[in-house]
Amino acid sequence: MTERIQRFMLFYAALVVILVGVRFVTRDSDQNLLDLQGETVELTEERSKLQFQLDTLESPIRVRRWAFANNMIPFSSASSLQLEFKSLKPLKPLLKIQEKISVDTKWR
Amino acid sequence: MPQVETKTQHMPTPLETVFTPVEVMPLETPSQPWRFALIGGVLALVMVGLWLEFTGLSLGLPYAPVVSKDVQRGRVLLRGEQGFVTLSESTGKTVNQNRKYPQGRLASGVLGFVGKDDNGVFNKGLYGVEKFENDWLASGQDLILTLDPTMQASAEATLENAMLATGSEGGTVVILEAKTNRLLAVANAPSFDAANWQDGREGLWKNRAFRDTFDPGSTIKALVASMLVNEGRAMPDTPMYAPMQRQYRNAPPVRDAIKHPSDLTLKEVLRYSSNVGISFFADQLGAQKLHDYLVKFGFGAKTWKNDPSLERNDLSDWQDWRPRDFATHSFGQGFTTTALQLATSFSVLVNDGKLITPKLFEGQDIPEPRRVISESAARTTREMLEYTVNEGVPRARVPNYCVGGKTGTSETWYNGKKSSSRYHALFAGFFPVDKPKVTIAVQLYAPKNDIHGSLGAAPVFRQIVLETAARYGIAPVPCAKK
Repeated sequence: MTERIQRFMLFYAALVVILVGVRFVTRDSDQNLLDLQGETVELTEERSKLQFQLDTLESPIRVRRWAFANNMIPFSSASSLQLEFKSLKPLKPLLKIQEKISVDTKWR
Repeated sequence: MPQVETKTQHMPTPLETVFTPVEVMPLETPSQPWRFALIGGVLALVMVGLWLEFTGLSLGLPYAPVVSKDVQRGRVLLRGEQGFVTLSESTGKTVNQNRKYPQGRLASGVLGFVGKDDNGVFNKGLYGVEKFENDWLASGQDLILTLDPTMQASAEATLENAMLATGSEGGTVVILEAKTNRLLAVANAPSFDAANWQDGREGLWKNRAFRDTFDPGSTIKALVASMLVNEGRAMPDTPMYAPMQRQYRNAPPVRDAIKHPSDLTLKEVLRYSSNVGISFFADQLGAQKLHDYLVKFGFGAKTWKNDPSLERNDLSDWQDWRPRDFATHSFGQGFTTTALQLATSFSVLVNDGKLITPKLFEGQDIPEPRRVISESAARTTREMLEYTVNEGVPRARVPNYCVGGKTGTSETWYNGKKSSSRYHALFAGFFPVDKPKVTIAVQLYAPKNDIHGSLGAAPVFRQIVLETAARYGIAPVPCAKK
């Protein structure tokens, strides 16, 4: 009976030692995880800032102002000329094709 | 004496009696309990120590995934040509979270702004869409407005230029997409920067296009003409005796501003914007019918049900109208409207006689379209308004494009009474005439130069037409070539 108790206690002790051992070996993972989390937050904030900058730079008001400042106008405001297209004169045939084709056959 | 060997007999303990042990195990050695206690104690200490070590290692372990503690408020977006354009977004630190507006002043009158809620976080809508859709946005859901960013920018810039050119104190432009009545632009001037809303005064913050009410003035003549055509009471070339003024008993006469012949057809009444002419034509409808049509066109009621952003528009009961009141209603005086409502009423002509409730949000639930006038009456009226612009409003004409519309000039209320020196310059129109793409309403408040709709507001309409044509790639089709 006593041996049985001792065996169990030793077994539990071994399990706890293994568990603590594993935790000890992986003790840096906590800090790594925390660092990664911080990095994720920083990157998310950075992305948000960049998105904000992009939205600001791409603002339709800004684009329109830039276009007008560079002498661009809507195509609808452009002066348009209206011309009538006349049909072209028929082209002369480049190759004169003879109507009759004669074939000479010589027998040896 | 022989000694009697006495044998001590083992007497069972009460516990053994209960469990009836087969054999009582005597303790092996007297030192065993000590050894047992020693080993147990050492093991217990080791386990406690190890447990403490384990706990120490596990403290501070980031179990939860990365979730910002900021209150995430939904963004307000516009559907641009290359994806969404963000009007507002949540960003910032856990403490003192803020709302940012990357587009600056773009659509600020519609958007509004946020303030701090009870927890000291910027998550409480105080004005505009931020206020009226606060529950939706505060729950973290994005809101997509129907506004077209390019059209919005065009409308705002054009309005700002018109304000400078005319010396106006304010103005609005509303652009509705034909067939759907999605709001493509709602421009308010002067505007404000939503990120620094505290710098402005309250008058700047409101969405004037939805809230400022004014008499629609002569713009309403176009709708009265459509009612007459729809009722079969008149056609564009139906003549009417129209002197320069009309007398009323115990009331001032109704006068015309633009000199014209004494006989006018219906389309000429629009072209000369004759108050007298339209009042004589309106007699053929009667006060009750005029009132009922005005209601059908959306006047006298809010554009959106239960929308607190809209002022109630004032249209009195026709039975309270005296004869001159009936006349003034026919040329747009005696009742009020908003720029949104004016655009909506003109969109009936654009949408072949049907009134479609305007949409500001994608997915907005609106009532079924309802018919106000017939398709042919709408088309005939559009053609009359094309004639009106071509013959009577040179500043609204657009080279190579066929447009239609009606001017209006109405008095403003100033210091509690109607001002005789401050006006609303108005224009409501559409283009192209045959297959309209947009309905446009322009209002300038108290311009100092070009105070009439035909002078101050018409050029705003023309510029917006040009930029709309460019935005949607509408090819030029001169009216004469139709």
